[in-house]
Amino acid sequence: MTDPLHVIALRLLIGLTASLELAALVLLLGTAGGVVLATISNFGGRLGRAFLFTILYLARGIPLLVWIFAIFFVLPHVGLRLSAFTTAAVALTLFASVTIAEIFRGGILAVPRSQTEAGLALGLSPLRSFILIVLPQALRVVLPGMISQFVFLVKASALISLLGVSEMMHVGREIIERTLQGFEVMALIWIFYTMVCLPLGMFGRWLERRLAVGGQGVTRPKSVGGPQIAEPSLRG
Amino acid sequence: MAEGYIFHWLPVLEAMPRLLGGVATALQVAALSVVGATIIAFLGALAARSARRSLRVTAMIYLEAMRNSPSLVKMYFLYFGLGSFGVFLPPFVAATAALALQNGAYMMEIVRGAIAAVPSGQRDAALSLGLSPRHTFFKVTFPQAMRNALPPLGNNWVEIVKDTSLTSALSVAEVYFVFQSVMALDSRVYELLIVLAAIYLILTAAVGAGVQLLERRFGRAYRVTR
Repeated sequence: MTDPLHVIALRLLIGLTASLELAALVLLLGTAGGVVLATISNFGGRLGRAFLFTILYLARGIPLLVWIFAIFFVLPHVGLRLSAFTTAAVALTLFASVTIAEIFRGGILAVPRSQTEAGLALGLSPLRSFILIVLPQALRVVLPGMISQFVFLVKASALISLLGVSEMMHVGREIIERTLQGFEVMALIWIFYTMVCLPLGMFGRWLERRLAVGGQGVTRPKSVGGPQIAEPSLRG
Repeated sequence: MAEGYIFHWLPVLEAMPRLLGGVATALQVAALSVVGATIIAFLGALAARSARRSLRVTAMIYLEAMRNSPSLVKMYFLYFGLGSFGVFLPPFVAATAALALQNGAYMMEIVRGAIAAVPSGQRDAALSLGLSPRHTFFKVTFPQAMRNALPPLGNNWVEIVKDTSLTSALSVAEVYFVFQSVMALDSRVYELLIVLAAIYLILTAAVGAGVQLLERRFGRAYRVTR
């Protein structure tokens, strides 16, 4: 028994909305988490930086799939019974917070020190001058990185299908198991992901070029020496 | 952690041979993927810099087709999708090929960027000294490009090692898959998770250390000697 192509496409698109919903939610929560972590590493002194470094090391050294599995197992075990979708959101948010913190850390470093000093000279407290003066300027530098983070999250949401959350890949696999239309389903899924991620990726790169040229006193940090901005881990 | 959970390490110890077998499989997948991806990356980078427009466009389409969807999609495509045409790849082959195709695209961008980052004066100088274009590329441009490319390539190799966990989706018996099957029997999940995390940390750290050795080798010509 085979399904007509438009029926498959429609089901997959419904699955895609779940992927996008998840990615958007995680980007939002992850940004909040990332800003907090970046602030900690900025003000926490050596201990704060060591903390961020450790979780960054763990996040980069262990596959995302293992992290997600761990969250899926540990949360119910400590008595937090959430829906599969929420659990997936928690798992991805924890991971995204770390990478977003790294993106923000790079953005904060790109804001000249004199900006903080000017804020302090005007009588703002260190925290207020950080939040009111440095962060908004860092936002400009951070924007392209955030877009590729979103693209990464859309692609990473495919992993959730392996833990039984109903998103596009999961819907697709279920159709394949029922109808054996492997080629049609996978070709459509491939096209749908590309339709979402390609324009976003192009926009991100365009934005990066624009901001790199016309930054008002904001220059991107050189990647010589110090840790790179989260680029290498933003894949799916 | 839940109250009353008591750690028992003996079942994990008994499962170690199977887990290490999974590590061996994961390393096979990773090594073959790296080789395949490297070949794709260099051919792709040459195509992307070719004077022929058709080659450049092909390379660009390949790049965008790969990097805008998860590698899981390519894995399923090779495994389930080709089945519609009567081509049935073994899971190991489909999974390894998918990782090679996906990472070949990422690495192609790295190599292309690294070659472009070598100052054109280097090429001009070599050509004016009478080196053939081929010699110029392999003796002058390429070694310098590799020096630029190695740190991001190394990051990519680490990612490939981690990505082997995805091949469990096609039931390739690598370490994450073994972990899941052991867990289903023993339910010593916390112990197993700790061991699994340690295994991956050791693997990625080892690859990272290897990359640093390579970086030192390629950076030798630039070291200041006193």
